[in-house]
Amino acid sequence: MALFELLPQDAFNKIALDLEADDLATLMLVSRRLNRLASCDELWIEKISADFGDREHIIDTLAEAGVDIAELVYQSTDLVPWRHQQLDDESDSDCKDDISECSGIAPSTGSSYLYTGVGVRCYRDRFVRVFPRSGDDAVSTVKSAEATLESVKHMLRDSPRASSDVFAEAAYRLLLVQEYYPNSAECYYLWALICFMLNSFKPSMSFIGIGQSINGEFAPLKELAKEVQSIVAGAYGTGNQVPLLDSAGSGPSPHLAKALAIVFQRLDSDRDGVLNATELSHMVRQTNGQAPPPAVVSQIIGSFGGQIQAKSGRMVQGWNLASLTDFYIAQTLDDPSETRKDLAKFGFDPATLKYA
Amino acid sequence: MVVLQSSDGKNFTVERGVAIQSVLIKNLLEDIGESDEPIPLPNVSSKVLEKVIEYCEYHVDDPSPILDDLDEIPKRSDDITPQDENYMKVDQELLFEILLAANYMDIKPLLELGCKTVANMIRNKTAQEIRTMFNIVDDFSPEEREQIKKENEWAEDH
Repeated sequence: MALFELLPQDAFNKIALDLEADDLATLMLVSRRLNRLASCDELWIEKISADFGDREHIIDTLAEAGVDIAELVYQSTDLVPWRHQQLDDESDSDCKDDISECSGIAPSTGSSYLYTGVGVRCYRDRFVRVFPRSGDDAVSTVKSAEATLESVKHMLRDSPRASSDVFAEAAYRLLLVQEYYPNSAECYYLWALICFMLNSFKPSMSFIGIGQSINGEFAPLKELAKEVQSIVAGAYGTGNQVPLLDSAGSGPSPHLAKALAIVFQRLDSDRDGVLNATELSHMVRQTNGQAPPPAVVSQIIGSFGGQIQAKSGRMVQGWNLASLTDFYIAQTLDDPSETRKDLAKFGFDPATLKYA
Repeated sequence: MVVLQSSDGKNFTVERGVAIQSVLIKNLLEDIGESDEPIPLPNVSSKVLEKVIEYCEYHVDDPSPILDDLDEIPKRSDDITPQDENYMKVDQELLFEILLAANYMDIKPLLELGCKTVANMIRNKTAQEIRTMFNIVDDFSPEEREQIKKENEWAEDH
């Protein structure tokens, strides 16, 4: 046998991933041995991710932001399969102990490769969607992708505080577009935007990174990147600044939590454990320079607090420490520099959050 | 210094920085600590090991590859430097042996270089051209060949 034919499957796969589908089709015609090497299921499954985007990664990144589309995707009849059902079954039953071996579709070492033809069929079905044979197909694909993108933008515009189901549906619809247009920077932009709307900055940056590698000139991506970076820089601090948020981006950092506990005690002048309307009015005056109208005070009580049990046992309309924290998390996510300015007015160092 | 021993028992003394470009050796050194004992490489002959060390020596000052989050983006650049291209001008037997050694010793940039080199030899060729180049015997029956051609029609002409 020729040297080339003696390559182990893992080494052959690395070469094959550098080649186009038509080169691999040619290799299949060279000899029986090469036909087998080039028919490896794991090779084609990995090639789907390499050529058309890593769908597992998209699903996982969205999950990090709290958008769970796994159910929608796995039950979908509109997406062509891109994984090896048999491999998934095996990983469910046989090898629970070794997650690293099973979670990846194609382990880089090991000899348990499959040659069922499923891999190449999955690739083919996706390939003909991305490169339609007929002009009519291409036109109808463009139309349906445009309509889907419009529907997603509509969903995101109409409901900036939408439920997680709406975000999941929007994210899933983008996958339907990406199925035909794997190099659509706009899909990655909209996924990044969904994560951003949910204050999940790391997943958002991850999508922005992929989108920009596809099209570095896509203006919405550039703008979103700037916005995310400025919030991340303010919320997590640069230079000698300590972070305002915890690593998940949904709660206060220990520094902010400590500072707010002190602020709360100082604002709570009657020491009943609740910031009532008068005390909140003082707080607004201290940070904004003038006393708020009563309507504004009752509005902020409603948004972040409510009827709260005071130390004496009676119910008081106002904020507890959790309300104060929620308020500052929301403000930080909107404009972190405002939070540092407020804390400076309460007597803290805006960078280190230490009480001066 | 680190001593590497080839399958035919020849010892090669190299600087640590040269040796640890092989992830296999790097992990080994971390496990066993510094030692004067030669590290045996039973899958690599002295001829191939010498060539592999040559590569690691002139890449010793390369910055380590940045492991970013963007691993999922396919990198299919054909950016082989003239120096690397020259290094790969070897007979086919040595080329495949280097590739296998890089795979076994886990030297990612050398493995990539070897794979790119072989991929460039294959790209846009006909099946017969590939057979001639790699000295491969066509063992298909005409019916089998027709069958495979038919199955792969989808991949043509794009």
